Amino acid sequence: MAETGSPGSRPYWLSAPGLVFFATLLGVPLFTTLMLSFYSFDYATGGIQTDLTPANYLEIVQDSYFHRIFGRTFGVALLVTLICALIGAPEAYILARMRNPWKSLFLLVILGPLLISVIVRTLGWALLLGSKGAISEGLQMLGIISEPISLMFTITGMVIALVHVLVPFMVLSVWASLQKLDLQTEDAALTLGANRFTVLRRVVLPQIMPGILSGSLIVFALTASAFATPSIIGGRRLKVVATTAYDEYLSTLNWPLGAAIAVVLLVANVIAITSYNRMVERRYAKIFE
Amino acid sequence: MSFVRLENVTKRFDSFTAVDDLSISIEKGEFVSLLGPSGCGKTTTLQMIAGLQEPTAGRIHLDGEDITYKKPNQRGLGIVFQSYALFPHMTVEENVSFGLEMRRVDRGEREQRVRRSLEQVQLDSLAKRYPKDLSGGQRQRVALARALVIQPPVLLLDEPLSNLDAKLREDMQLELRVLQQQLGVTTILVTHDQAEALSMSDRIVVMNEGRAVQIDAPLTMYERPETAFVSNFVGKTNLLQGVVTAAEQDGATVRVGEQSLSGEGPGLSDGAAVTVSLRPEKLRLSAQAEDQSIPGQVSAGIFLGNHWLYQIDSALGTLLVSQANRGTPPFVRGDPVHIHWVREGVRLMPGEVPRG
Repeated sequence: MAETGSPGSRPYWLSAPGLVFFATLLGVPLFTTLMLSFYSFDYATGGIQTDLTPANYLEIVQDSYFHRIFGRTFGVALLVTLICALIGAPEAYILARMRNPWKSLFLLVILGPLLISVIVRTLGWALLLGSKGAISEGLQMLGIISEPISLMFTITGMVIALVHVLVPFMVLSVWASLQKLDLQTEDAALTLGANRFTVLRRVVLPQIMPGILSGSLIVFALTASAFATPSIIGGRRLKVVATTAYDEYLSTLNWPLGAAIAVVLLVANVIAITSYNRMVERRYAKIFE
Repeated sequence: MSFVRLENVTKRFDSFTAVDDLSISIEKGEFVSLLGPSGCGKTTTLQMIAGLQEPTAGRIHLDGEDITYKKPNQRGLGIVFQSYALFPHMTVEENVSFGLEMRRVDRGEREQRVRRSLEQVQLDSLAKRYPKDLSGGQRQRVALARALVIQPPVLLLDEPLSNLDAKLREDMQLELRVLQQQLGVTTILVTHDQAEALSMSDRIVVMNEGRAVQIDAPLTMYERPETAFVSNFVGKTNLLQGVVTAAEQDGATVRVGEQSLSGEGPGLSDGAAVTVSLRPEKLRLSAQAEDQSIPGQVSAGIFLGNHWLYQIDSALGTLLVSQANRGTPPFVRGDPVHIHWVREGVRLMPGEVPRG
């Protein structure tokens, strides 16, 4: 093996297949999308002009229509992330305290949403959320509401469906940091005079915070770029960035504008994630490895 | 009136009995070790005293008060866990301060007590560090400071030294004992390390299968074990199977194989099976035969600095014999030797030699 070069170059050779794979399947399409976003679209002829212009980006930056869509997307992403953290962290904690076979069983239940096709799962939610759906009927039967309500095409409905599928990521992430938690630290806090709630707040929560934060990162990124759930539950009325890009590509056929929207989403997502990550690392590097 | 009292404490997990009808009385200021092999129930006992486990039956009293079902955060006991259980997200200072915060001690006094407590364990210079930046020995000291700062009536130590290397462990044993005597805090140590129990305790409770086998001071435990289990577990020894040929007051003459020897021990009767314990250091080797000696041959020897440990093949079987290093040339493998002992060095206990 030594003939292929100095030992220093070996890692590169070993990772070459992976690098080639990513370069062709991710790098090239990304680059062509980036190029496409600087072209312009002629509505009269429906043709794409290969002139390099920032016009698409200026339109996104200036048009309040796009502001609303971006605002909605990141607003929903924040809300979903927050709810996932509030549900997922306690869920993981309780799960970690369970004994088998319940532990395995409930883990499967939690991971369930990931095992079902996104379209099937979302259509299932559509059935539940509609005005003739189980939720509306149920609430009427209980006398909580008098008129049928529909959660379809509402932010609430969209958030519910997104939380459902994204909570497993939060649970798994918190689960991982719970594995590192020394159970005796809870006993130690108890014997030092803390009550159950103080133990959770002062001892458990800070230790699983890295898990919550990294789970938030995953949930946020996936929500911000989610397509299927917003397009079925939110529809045309509640467009998010991903569905807007899709519409530009397939309805308006304005590929360059669609590409520009996609690029802005990607850049915004990358900025949000890296700055968040840096903040988290600065805070926790000195405490945890 | 004893300070800590366990009365017929039993703990069952499903069908498994971890602690079986255990009664112990501990005086104020006493250092008591619970010693036993893993699974003997010593840690469960400690957890019941701490309130982390509830006994299935029996009572636990602290300073005259029944604390059997009192919550752990109401007991105010100091505990050093085996893993130390330091809070990784808090500095050394914050770790030690935690118990005082829970007691709503005001800031000024808190800081003062934390500082004093860290000085006690010589860690005042590391107050701002996080646990992950500390060595094992330093973490151990933080755990100790955290347990002591709340001035607990009882200090519970759950195998606190088992994660330290041998040299550091010895240093800490001495340090811990000195500190414990200075503060006069009643201390209960759980350990499987007989050397640790012997070196630090006022009294040792040897436990096996959930029961207290013998409760005695270290020297008594070592010199006059009541059962073969204790003699085997506490210190090194040679256990031989024999039969009593002539029982006497507090002793007997016994036969081991073809060899007859006499020793001390209570409760023996003619014809009964007896376990003979010969401590390696109670045996002496010489090149020449004397009265009351048997011949043997050195089959192996290891040098341990202050003494040699030999393995000798003899009519009594293979015996371990330790000889102090007096600077004379050692025996080597194959040397013929003679093994001597005195009656006081032979301990007799009723029953068969335990297996394993």
